[in-house]
Amino acid sequence: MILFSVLLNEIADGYLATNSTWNSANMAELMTIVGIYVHAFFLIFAVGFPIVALTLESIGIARKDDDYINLARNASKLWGITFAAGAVTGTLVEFGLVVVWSGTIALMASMAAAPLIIELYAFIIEIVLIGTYLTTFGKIKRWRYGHVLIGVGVLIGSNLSAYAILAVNAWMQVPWGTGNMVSQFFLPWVPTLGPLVIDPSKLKTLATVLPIVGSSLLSSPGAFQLLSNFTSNPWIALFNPESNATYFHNLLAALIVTSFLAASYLSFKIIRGYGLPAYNWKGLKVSFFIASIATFLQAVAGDYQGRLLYMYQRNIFNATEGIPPRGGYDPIVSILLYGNPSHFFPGSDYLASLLPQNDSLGQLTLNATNLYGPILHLMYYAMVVSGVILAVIAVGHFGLYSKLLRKIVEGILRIKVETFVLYGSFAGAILSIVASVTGWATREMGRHPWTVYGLITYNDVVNSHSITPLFTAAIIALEIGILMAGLWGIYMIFFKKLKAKHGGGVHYQ
Amino acid sequence: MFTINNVFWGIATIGTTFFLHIFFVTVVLGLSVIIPIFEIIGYIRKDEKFYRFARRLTSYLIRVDLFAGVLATWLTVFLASYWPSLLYIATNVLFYPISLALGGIMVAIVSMALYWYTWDYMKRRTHIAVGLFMSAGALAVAFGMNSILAMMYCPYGVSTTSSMGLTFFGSNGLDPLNNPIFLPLALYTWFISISLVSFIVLAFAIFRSKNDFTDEFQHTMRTSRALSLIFSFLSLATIVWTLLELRGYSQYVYHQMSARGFVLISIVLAAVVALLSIISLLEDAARYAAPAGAFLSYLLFMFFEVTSNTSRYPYLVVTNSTGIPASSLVNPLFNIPDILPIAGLLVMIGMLATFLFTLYLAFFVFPVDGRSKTAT
Repeated sequence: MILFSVLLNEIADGYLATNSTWNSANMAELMTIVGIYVHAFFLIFAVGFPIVALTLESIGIARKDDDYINLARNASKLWGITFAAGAVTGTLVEFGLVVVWSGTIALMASMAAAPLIIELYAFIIEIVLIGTYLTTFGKIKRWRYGHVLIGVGVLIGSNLSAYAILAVNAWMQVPWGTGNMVSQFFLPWVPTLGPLVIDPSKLKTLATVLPIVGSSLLSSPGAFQLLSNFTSNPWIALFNPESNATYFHNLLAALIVTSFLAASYLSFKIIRGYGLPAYNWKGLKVSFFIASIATFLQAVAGDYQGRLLYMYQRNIFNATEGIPPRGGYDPIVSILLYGNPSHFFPGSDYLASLLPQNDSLGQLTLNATNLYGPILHLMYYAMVVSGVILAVIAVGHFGLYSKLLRKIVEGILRIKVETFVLYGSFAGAILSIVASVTGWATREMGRHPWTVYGLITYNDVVNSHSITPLFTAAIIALEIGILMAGLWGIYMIFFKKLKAKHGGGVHYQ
Repeated sequence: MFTINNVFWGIATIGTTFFLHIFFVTVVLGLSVIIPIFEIIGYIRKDEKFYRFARRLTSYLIRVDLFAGVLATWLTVFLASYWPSLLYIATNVLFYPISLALGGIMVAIVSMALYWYTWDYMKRRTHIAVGLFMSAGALAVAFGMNSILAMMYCPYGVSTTSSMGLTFFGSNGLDPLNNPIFLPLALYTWFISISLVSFIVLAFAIFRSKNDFTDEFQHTMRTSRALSLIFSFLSLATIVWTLLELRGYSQYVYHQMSARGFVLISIVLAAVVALLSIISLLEDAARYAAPAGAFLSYLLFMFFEVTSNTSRYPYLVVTNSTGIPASSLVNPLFNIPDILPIAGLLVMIGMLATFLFTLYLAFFVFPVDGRSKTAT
């Protein structure tokens, strides 16, 4: 860890440092990135995986087939352990937000208050009902769908929780309810963001004072009182169009990743000969089918998300699509947006020309976009290409059910469709993880230097204490420790005993 | 006035959540400390009965911890929503102790999950080491979080600067750790939690030993007795110490408590609990003394927390004989709609009932012992 902290010191001194505040913000960002990714790894199981588990259980009850019930029981164990790890890391992220990015308390006390309070209720519903679900698995004999209903309760809780959290994140991307304040303050290319429900003078005070005093503003109750009656509609974040897009995009991503992971686990068992093939194939078919359907829907959700990016965050759109500073053409995107391939997309030079004099934050935004542009473009297209390959795999998988598709797959690849599905599930798991990781990285990196796009920067909200490399290293070590512990727990339950239990297995031919 | 609504709901939500949280979290703290003790004794004596008992207690710990953890999240979000300045000042002034508590949360919960899931999969000494991490993490959480309460009793180590006619609260480095109320309060929280859980565990063992054919419960009683004896006396000593420091550094709270007889009642309760720990040593009297000790130590814990925290009213932070009124620190940005806290209360009641029902199912209808944890 000491070595790691020395390395962080070097990075801070060499690449990130401009002054001490920047150091703190960058250090804080590093630990936040790791923490959120660790949290995301576990929480996707809470959001998406219940659909797989409950589908298996419902099929088992409907067909009176205990194989599906046992598959669902195993799935529920994974659900339970990842939920616990997700709850731990969620607590970590939340405390980290409050302690390290303490200026965000102002956000939690204003536009994010209603979603976050609703999230609390969803969280408690989820945590209590998952305990009931796991405790009563296989115990409810009279009306077995009653147990599925408890699971549906957990699913509703976890998705309401996800919606509320993502609504806050969406508000940080598109601060809905600020009217044309963003374009007036710093970013003239941003259109009107919904009805104006924030007192313009208070928002102006906040946006002006925060860069000067930073998050210390909140340490003065008197100063905070100057912002009284900040908003007239605390619910607005929940009605942001970006919230719906973000939620559906993330729900489908979680479903795709977890379904493919479940499918690849069952494929692994089939290939290594652990357990009865018929049993494993039942689970594999269900999870792959769900992953495929979600992949097709994701194309629609992703398209909608992209349109919103184009509409509200033009500088980030340019970077992700690789539009050069002088502007250029992108036939595919042009067809999708305008129905013809020859629309000209103005680049960052045009956006810079819109900036009023002395708009240093607007200029800083474009500098950040240009700086991160190549990597944003790379990551964005890593996501898009992964998605396209996933769609191909999803189509190919239907060869299990369609003679025509079977012929096509077997004709092109010279392998059985079953083999394609077995190995396709591993490819699906890897590609879906790549798409999710790069998608989120694009979204968050693209927002630099803003915490709330066009209104509040990272520097404004970081804790006034110096965030040292040693502290950062310690937190990152803990975060990685949690990830390792969670993975190890999954290994212990799902892998370690397989060989002993199934006598070494028989390799798939 | 809109601020009255926020003040009322702010106090109501924080009060309800805080008292519910500590009601459960004290069991988590106590169990996290005593379970590894049972396992260590089992290891030293090579006695399976101690292992079995420790494992049984861990299954209870896991369930209670998840619920207690959720309530901690409730507390943080309600604090941010209703009392943003207070939360900011606390996280800024108490950056180090709160970071310690944050680290403690991570270590405690992860090691708790590992401790439970790796039972029989790890070498015993490694497993004990994981258990000790769990204890250390739980103790660190209570230690760090008590710094917030200590600051609200006495904002020691808080610097103030004035600019443009406004007062800004800041930190004096590690000074807040020297808050005279902090150490006794943190130690008292540790000791009373361990004491009350020892009593609960002893009473549970006595109750279950009637139908115990393996001597598991009979064997472990002596350890529970010793723990309750040691920690109830330590609780008595530290509650007196805490009250003395309150008298010196948080006079408003102390006077409010003593005027209503709360100081006397707290000390008498602590003394009775200590006395009951002695009576529990007697074989015949233990069946009455242990449940009474469990009940009274819980009562003492909750009574002291409720009375000392509500004695700050109408101040949120007490500065010796006066303080900062709650209305000065309440969220001024908007009137949080009443439907949100009301809905929270209803959800809390419903989920608390469901949780208790699930605990009943888990412990009495479908006991955990026989369940498989590995996948088929």
